[in-house]
This record gives sequence, structure tokens and C-alpha cells, in this order.
Amino acid sequence: MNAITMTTNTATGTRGWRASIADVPVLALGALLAVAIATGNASVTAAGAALSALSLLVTIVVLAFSRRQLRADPRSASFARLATGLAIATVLMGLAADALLLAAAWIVSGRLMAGLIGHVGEWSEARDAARRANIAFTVGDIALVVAVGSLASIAGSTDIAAIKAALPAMPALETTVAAFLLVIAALARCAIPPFSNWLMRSLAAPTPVSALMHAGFVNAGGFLLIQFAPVLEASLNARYALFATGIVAALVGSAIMLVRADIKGSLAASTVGQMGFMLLTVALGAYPAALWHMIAHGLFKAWLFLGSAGTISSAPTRAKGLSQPWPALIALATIIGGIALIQTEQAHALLPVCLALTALLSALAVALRALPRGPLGAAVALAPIVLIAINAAALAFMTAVQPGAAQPLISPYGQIAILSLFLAGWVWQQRIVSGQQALPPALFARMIHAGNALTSSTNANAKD
Amino acid sequence: MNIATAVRAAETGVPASLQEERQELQALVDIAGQTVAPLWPLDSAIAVNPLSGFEDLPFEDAVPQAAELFGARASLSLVQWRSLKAEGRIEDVAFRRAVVNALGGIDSAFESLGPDLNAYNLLVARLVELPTEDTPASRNELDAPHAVLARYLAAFFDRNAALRLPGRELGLYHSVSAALRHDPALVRAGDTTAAAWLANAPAEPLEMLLFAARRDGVSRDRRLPWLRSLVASLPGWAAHLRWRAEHGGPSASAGAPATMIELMALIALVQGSVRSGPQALAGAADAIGQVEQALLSYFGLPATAPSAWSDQARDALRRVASMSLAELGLVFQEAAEASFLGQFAPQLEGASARLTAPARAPAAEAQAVFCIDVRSEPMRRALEAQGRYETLGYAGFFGLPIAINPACEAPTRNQLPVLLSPAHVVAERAAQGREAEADALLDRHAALADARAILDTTKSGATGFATAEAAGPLAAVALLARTLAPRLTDALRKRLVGERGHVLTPSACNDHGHGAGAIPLEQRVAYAKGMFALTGLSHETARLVALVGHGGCTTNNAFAASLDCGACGGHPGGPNARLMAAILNDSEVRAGLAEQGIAIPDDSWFIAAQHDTTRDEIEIFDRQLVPASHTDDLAKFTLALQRAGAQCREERAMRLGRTPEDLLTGAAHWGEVRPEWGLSGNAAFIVGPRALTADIDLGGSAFLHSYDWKKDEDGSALTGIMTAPMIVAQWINCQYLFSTIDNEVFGAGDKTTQNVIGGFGVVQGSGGDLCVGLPRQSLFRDDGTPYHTPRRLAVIIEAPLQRVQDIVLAHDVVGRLVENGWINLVVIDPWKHKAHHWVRGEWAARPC
Repeated sequence: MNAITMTTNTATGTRGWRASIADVPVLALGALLAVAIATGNASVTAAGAALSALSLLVTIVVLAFSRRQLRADPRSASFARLATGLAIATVLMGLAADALLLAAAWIVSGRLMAGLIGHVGEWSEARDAARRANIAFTVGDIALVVAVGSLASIAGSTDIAAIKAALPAMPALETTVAAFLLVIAALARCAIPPFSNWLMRSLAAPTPVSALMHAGFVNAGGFLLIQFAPVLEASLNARYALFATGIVAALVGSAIMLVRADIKGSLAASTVGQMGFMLLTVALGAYPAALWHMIAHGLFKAWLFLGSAGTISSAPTRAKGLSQPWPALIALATIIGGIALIQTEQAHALLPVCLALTALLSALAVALRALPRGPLGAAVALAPIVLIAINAAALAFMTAVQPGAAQPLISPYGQIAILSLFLAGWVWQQRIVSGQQALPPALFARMIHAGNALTSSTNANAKD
Repeated sequence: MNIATAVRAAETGVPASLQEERQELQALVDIAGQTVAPLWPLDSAIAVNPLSGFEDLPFEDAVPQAAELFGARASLSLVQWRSLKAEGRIEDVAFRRAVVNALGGIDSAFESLGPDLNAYNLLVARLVELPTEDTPASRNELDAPHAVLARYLAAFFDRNAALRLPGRELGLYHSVSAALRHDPALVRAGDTTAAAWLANAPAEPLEMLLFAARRDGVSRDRRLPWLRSLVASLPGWAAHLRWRAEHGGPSASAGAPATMIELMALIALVQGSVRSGPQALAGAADAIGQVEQALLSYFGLPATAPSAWSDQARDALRRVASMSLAELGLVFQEAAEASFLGQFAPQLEGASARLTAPARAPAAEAQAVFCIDVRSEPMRRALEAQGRYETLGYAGFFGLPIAINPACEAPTRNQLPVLLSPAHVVAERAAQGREAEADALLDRHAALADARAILDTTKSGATGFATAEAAGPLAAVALLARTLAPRLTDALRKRLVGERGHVLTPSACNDHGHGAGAIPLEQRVAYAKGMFALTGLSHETARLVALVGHGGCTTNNAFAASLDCGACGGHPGGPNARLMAAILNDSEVRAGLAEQGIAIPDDSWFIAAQHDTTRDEIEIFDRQLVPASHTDDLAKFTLALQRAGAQCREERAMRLGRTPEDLLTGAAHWGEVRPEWGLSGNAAFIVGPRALTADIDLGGSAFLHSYDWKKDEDGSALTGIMTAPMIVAQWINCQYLFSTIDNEVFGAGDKTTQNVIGGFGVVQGSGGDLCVGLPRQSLFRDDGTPYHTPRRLAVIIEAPLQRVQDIVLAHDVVGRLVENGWINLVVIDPWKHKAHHWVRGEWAARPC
């Protein structure tokens, strides 16, 4: 904004950058980050760098977006402060070499996000959403603090590297408890059921807040578990629990997405499913795949949220299902591909790779229609292949900088079984979406309210 | 009594009365359905008066009644009105006059109540002096049963549902009531009887309403208000349903039939899950007493002072103290309306007097016919300032009742006012001479549609995980480009994808013989003639005549269509302008016109153009068709348009408090919530020759319709104007007025927390009632003060009084608005050049 705009603006000092006492905490947080780096309390890991880069990129975009989006919002300055603070806290969390620093940054980022969710303070829906977020984050905070505290006290050091080094010597019970607590912290942050409410209700916040969640906030659960991967790997049960919850979240989130008529609701539901998928990838031990998912999905979803006002359509769009017999054929081809992958002994991340194959084959099945259109049609068909290739390159890069788990959780054929479960759900979904099969009303009723329970406060408010 | 006993009663001999009760209820349902105005989907947003169901009542009665029914504010708050007055938007003289009028005239206003005290002083004190709380419009929140129902309504009406509501094809009531019976949230939200209530709900909507009415003891004489309250508890969804049933056509409800009675029955069903106790009424009398005390103490009088007054004086005090916010607000509003008339009516009278002087101006170099839209006014003024250019105002669909069948896979779209129905479906095809470009463009669009279909198919379910990953890098590029280089991105996008408006155009003639899309010659001649008749355009047209449609230019904006041309069904008006220009350049049509006395000069060429109201650029279509003889004229005219656009942009930027450059960026920026002010500030609809308004800077506040009363001997042209464009202008005016008064109930609220639902509307947050009206950012400045002043439309016509009066009395649709004070009708007598105001049945000299 330039000088002319400022002078013609009749607003009385509420806009524009003016130093305020409320800036101090943000500056202090920045100073803390600087000190952490200067004193060697920061270390760059692949997971931390990925989280920090994602956070900075999306935050810069969201702040620039909000200059116009929140132009008429009396709290736009407060939004900018909280968003900046959130980015600093997220970077601090990503780079922290000290477990206590990481936990503190984790707690701070949670409080900042709850503040952002309650942005429209006079609206009971927003206050209720902030309250739910605070509850979910508190559970996660407590779990994380207890986990980090117990690990640090046994290891005799708060340094993350030292804790990892001391792990083999720790009693099994303590590491198991710590692993479970870390999983709980990650589930709360990732809005995995039963913690989905905070995310689904957060639509009462302005659009930029929803985008900001994907800047290393909702997806920080994956980062946390990768950062403390040895702890997680010390408890097979914790990994199984994470794996099972991940599958449930992936299925439930995808299902809710299908019944939501509102764009933001279906995007939020999809995030629940995507976070489930990310965590199940972590549980499998495919850390590079999980990290790449965290970044790519974060960018994708931030983009969709910011552009959500442009989704008015002039016509009913066609049913978005593949016609028979494509789904069954593609599912079969995927399983054959998966078995072939096992033969090459590169089946560490079989599930994500095979689902990428399903997506590619589906895309190509749709693109077949475009082929007769000549060179442009061929370009359309080529696009998914190029994108999947870029994706594979990114995954290869991630694998080079971030090792996976020493021990895979389940055998490749176990993964084939899980893959079959997903594919069966997908084939069923294609049948329902293309109208070949109906959903029972009772199931629909549950899906339409899932993660979005009405509150007693809404009731009380309407009555008074 | 449940359905079973009702049937038994019918069998045992009382069928007649039951049948009668049913019929009566059915009739009441039809009336109650009119409580809400139809709400157009946002892809073809049409402004409507949200209180159109109350137009049978006088304005001053309708507003408080509707406000109470919908739970809205009946006026801006006094604090807001005071700030508008302080800004100078309300003149002191007009204000004083409005206060006196509100008190019933000079006598009662200034009658002495005590030393230095009269009703006038009391009311002025209440309006502008007494401390008052700023009561903001509060967010519309639904209780749990309504919130549950709203979710199902959204699922039912969703155009793009990936997963359809089970049983949707059976109809609204059947599918939703079946789902509600299985709904755990509704049972939880209800009281102990809820489960039984839901289980016993009748299977037919009419029976359901009877069942609910009887259970809650709604007697037959109270059923209409009861039904209206049902509709008013979810007015947005009800309004959408009204559009669907009355204007959407068969395609809107294909596969999902729904009627208003079904919605009412569903609302009664969910309301019945909670048996509400009697509602406590606020102690109104007490509040009046407090205001009386405050008034007395403001004038330094003891609380006991009135006991010594006469009964009349006490009544006067009580009357002022008991005035509601609606009444107080109306005083301010009438003052604001009078301020506008007070400023412009004398200028118009003066211009009317000068009109008779036979000063013959030299012929214009070019003429331009603009839409009557208020945003045309600054542009016309700017264009006229560039040289000998003449402008006219005409409804932006140029009188062509058409629907366009696009050249790609998209549904037919109506390009005409919603008051009319399309008489011709016109095919969109390549513009003459640009066939190859059009083919290439359509190929690119098809490829883009394919790419979108790929994303839609793979983004959900098990493939969604990989899709998100694959699209991530692409999203990063898009995020950065759209945010940091919006204009470059926009230019690049247009370059790559192309703009369909450039190379595709609707076509009146079918080159390959006379197909279904062609408009018959005699019709084409009639439409061409209509333009001359309604606007008074002389048939001695200039060498170049531009027909200028208009459209907004924004991105990532759910309300984009509300910036387009309302006369073109909420779409850009360029296609109509092109079709009309083609018709007028057609030699057959010209011959036909000449037969009817309209001989257009042979050297006159019509071009079509479109005014981009967000950027103030006017784009000329089909340059390749302009004959070589007119190339120089066109070049000169293009330059004039560019200069006019820059001047207009400058003027508009000032009103937005931004720089002209920033407006251009805002038009391309996906975060922008206020790309332009739209029709905010609209206040008047002026019907007369341009000479009447040419010297007046109306600041974009007026719809200008060209009209020459001398050329309209039988008054048919004026009848056409007053029964169509004027009505549309009144809808727009009322939409802006009520969206400003209560932006949460009659408007769409804050844009940043909106959530697009079903592909056609928005809700706030995670769900609830469908939003109606306009968003806050379209009406209020950044600091929260209203940019739009709530004022009823002043319809100012230069024509013989008798002619206007005849039209008002002959056409109920006009008479109702005038008589009930929904518009202020002012007629300028073309002989005496005096303005006359229609006041409840008679002409009064302009109050100034």
C-alpha cells in the first residue's frame, strides 16, 4: 500500500502498520528463535526443515492474501500478529534440538491457533470452536509434556539427540508409555477421531485461518512422530495403535467428505482423512513418504481453502465416479502391481506407492476421453504421468535425506491386505457416487453430523 | 389425533369439515410461501427485494413487521444514522422537515409543552442527542433442531453432491423426514417426547402440518401467521426453494422434487421435537418510562415535571418516548431521501427549462447506448467530456428476450431480465472471420474441462491421497503466482486459455438456412425499433453507434455475478450488445425499419462493446467487421473510450479510498473482498433525455433511462419503462437498502467466514441458513461505516403528469409501489418545469 492510499483511507488508525504493545510477544518469540539458533539449540533435520519451509511458504502467502481479504476486519492486525507468531513457533518447533524447547513451541503454537480459530469473538460458533480446539490441544499438550518429561528425566538430558541415544537402555514400560503419549499428542494435533471436532468446527474462522492450519499446524503430528521416531519404533503396540487409528481416520474422513454439501466442510473432512493417511504411513515406517505427504498436501489444501470462494458453478457437475468396469479393473491392476513391487524387494512404502498407481490409472481412464482431441488431449493425458513422475522424484529425494524405520511394521503381504481394504472401499464409493448403489439413511445421518456435533451452547444461545 | 384417527374420523362421517380444513390449510400454505422473496443462485445472482412479500403494506408498516418476523433490525442503529448525518449525507433542512413530518405537522411539532419545550425538541433530542447504544446486527444463529434440518436441506439441494441424500428422487419431505427419523442429533437436541414425535410423524406434508397445528393448539384463525413463522425460521432455504419452483425451470429440480409445503412440514417436524413453553415478553412499558426520564433530565426537568402538564403534553412526551427504532430510523431515512431530492431536483428543473430552448448541438461524432446501471453514469459523463459524443441509457439486454446456448457443454443461460421469459434460444458460434481461433479456443476449454474431470474423479477416496501429493507442487506455484503476481497471472491465464467472449458470439441468423436458433426478420425489426421507441434515439444516428453492455471482473468471488448485468439475468451484457449490433447492421432489418419510418443513415455502423465495471475498461467486439470507411472513426472513438475509462477509474478509486492502479490489481487478486462498490449508493431512477442530467454529477447514484415524452404519444414506451426497468431498479434498491439495515438477516454477512454450499449459495461458518442479499464488504467501508445510505428509490420522470398518473393507476404492479411508499415518485412537468411528488394518491409540489 502506498502513501496515497493511506491518506485517502478514512479509517482512524486501525489499519496500517503501527507498533503496538501486542507486537512484543511476537518479537520475543522471534528473539527466542534467534537465540536458539545462536546458542546451538537448533539443529536441522529433514523433518524440521520440511516443516519450517512449509510453514514459511504458506504463511507468507496467507499474510499477503489477508491484506486484501481482511481489509474490513477490525481485528486484521491481531490476525497478522497471531499468524506471524504461529510461523515463528512452528519454525522453532521444527528446528529445536532441545525436547523442552520443542514442547514449549508446540504448546505456544496450539494456543495461537486456538486464538485464530476464535477470531470472530462475538460469534458463539467461533467461541465454541475455539473452546473445542483448546480442549483438544490441552490433551495433546499434556501428553507431550509427560512424554518428553519422562524421557528426559530417564535419559538425564533434554537434548533430543541424547534422548535418542539413551533409548536402548531405557526400560520397556517407560518407552512404551512415552510412545503412546506421543501418538496421542499427534492424534490431537492431526484432528484424528476422536479429536476431529476442533477442525470440523473451525470453519467459523475466516478463510485465511483455515489455510494457515495446513502450514505445518494440523500436519505437525507427523513431524513430531518422525522427530521422535526411535521412541515410536521402540513400541510395536504404539505403532499398531497409530496404524489402526490412521486407517479409521483415512476411511472416515474420506466418507464425511462425500456427504458434505459445503466446500469448506468437505475440505476439512478431507484433511482428517489425509492426516489419517499420513499417520498410517508413519506407523508403517515410511517416513520419507509421510514427510512428502505433509508438504504436498499442506500446499494443496491451503490452495484449495484460499480459492474456496470461487467454487460457485453454473451447472450441476456430472457424477464424479468411474463407470463400470473401470474401478474393478484398476483395483485388480493395482494389486498385481503391488505384488510385482514385492518381487523387486522395494516394498517399504508399498501402500502409498500402490495408491498412487490407482490414482494414476483412474486419471488415465478419465483422460482416455480426451485423447481423440489431438495434441491437447494427449497433453491432458500426459499431465498426470508427469505429476506422478515429479512426485516420485520428490519421494526419492526425501528418501535420500530422511531414512525410513529400521523395521517395517507389517510384511509386504500385510500391506497388500490393507491395500485391498482401501481398494474395496474405493470400488464401493465409485458405485455409490455413480448412483449404482444407495446409502442407508441411518449411515447418512451419522456421516452428516460426524465430527460436527451441535453444541449445547448453540442451544442456550438461541434461547436467550 | 394422529393420522390413523384422522382417517377413521373421515370414515365415520365428518369428512366434509376435515376436507375443508385441509383445503383451507393448503390455500394458506400458498399465501405463506410468499413471505420470502425468491433467491437466485449466485451464478446468476439477481437482486430482489427481500421484503417483496410485504409490498402490499405501506413501507412504514411493512419494515417493522418483517423485521419482527425474521428477527432483524428495522433500521440502522441511531449511532450509525448519526454518523451519516455528521458526514453530511443528511441535510439539516431536510432533517428538520422530516422530524416535523414524523410529528404530524408544524402545529403538533411546535406546540409548547412547557417552558422552551415542544415535541420537536424532544424528538430531535431522541434522534441525535440522547446517549444510545450501538446495537450491531447480530449473527443469525440457529437452534439445534433447525441447524440439523439445515444440514439436510443443504444435502438435498446440493447440485454437486458426490453422494446423494438417500431417497432424494422421492421428494424433499419424504427423503428428509426419513433421514430425520434416524437422526441421533435431532433426538438429542429435542426433549423427552422427541423420539415418539419423530416416529409418529405423518407421511404426507399436509397431514404433518395439520398434526403439528393440532398438537400445538394453533387455532384456524392463527394458522397463517403460524405458517409464515415456519417459513421465516429458515428464510434462506425457503427463498432458494421459491426460486427453484418458480424460476428455476425443470432442470433445477430434476431428480429432486420439492415444494414449499414440504419445507414447512419439515420445519414443523423439527420444531415439534422441542415443546416450547410460553415466550416471555420484554417489559416494553418499562423501557418507555426510562426514555421519558432520560428526555426530561436531558432538558433539565425533574422526573415529576409531567404531572403538572396537560394531558396533551404528557401524550406528546409519551409518543416521542415510545417511538421504536423503526420509526426513528425512518425519520433519518426520509431526511436522507429528501436531502438527495433537495440537492438534485432543482438542478433537474433547471435543465428541463433549458431543454425547450432550440439550441441545436452539432451532430455527434459517435453515440453510445449504455445500460441503465448506476455504474454507467460516471462512464457516460467521462465519455461525453472527451468530445462530441452522445450517450443514452437503455436496459442492458437491449430489448432482446434471449437465452444463449453456449458452444460448449454448458446449460443454456438466460440473458434477459427475470420479469420476462426467453422468446428465442440463440446459439453461440464463432464470430465472423475468427472461426479458426474459436475452434482452437474450444479445444483448449475442452482440454481444461478434461483436466478438471481428472481432478474431480481422483480427489476423493483412496486415490485422494496420491492426488493431493501429485497436485502439491502445482499448488505451490499457483499459491505464489496468484498472491504475489496477480495481474501477471491473470494476463497469462487469458493468454493461455483465451477469452471466449472475444471469438464466440450469439448469432441471430442461421447461415445454413433457417434453423431453430434464428430470430425471424420481423421480430428482429421489432426489437430494433423498440430501442428507438423507448430511448427516443433519433433515427439520424451518428456514423458510429456503440451498444455497450457491462460486466464485472473479479476472481475467487462467490458474488461475482452480483457485479454483472442484472438486466441480462446476472451475466455480462456483451453478448446481447453484439447480437443487437448485428441486427442493426443487417441490411434486411434496416429496410424493414425504413418501412416503419426509421431510416438509419447508410453511413451509420453499429458496434458492440462491454464496459468492465471493475476496471473501467471498455472493450470493443468484432472490430474485424467494421468497414474500412469507419476505421478512423473507430480509432478515434477507441482513444476517447480509453481516456474516459481512465477518468472514470480515477473517480471510482477515490470513492473506494484506493489508487486506480490498486483497483486493477484488486480485480485480478484472489484475496480481494471489495473489487468495486457495485451498485452501492444507488438512489434514483431518472427517466428523460440525457440533456436533463448531462450537466449534473450524480456520482454514480442514478439509473438513467433515456426517454423522450414527445416521441411517445400513446405513453406505451413510458408504460414499458415503468413496468419493467423501473421494477428491476426498485428490486436492486431494496436489496441494497435492507442488506445495509441488517446485514446478517437481509444480507449475506462477512465474506471471509462464508462457505460456498451446494455450488450455488453461501452459508456462514459450518452451516445454517442459506445467506440472502449482499455481503458486508459490498456495502460497508473498511472502518465499518455504511457506504450505502439506506434510501428508497427516487423515480424521477420528465413527462406530463397525467400520463404518469394514468400508468400508475392502470398498473397494479406500479401503483402498489407508489401508493405504499416503496418508491418516491417525482414527475417533472415538461411545460412548467416543476417537480411534483406523488404523496399517497395526489400530486404535491416538491417539498423543498
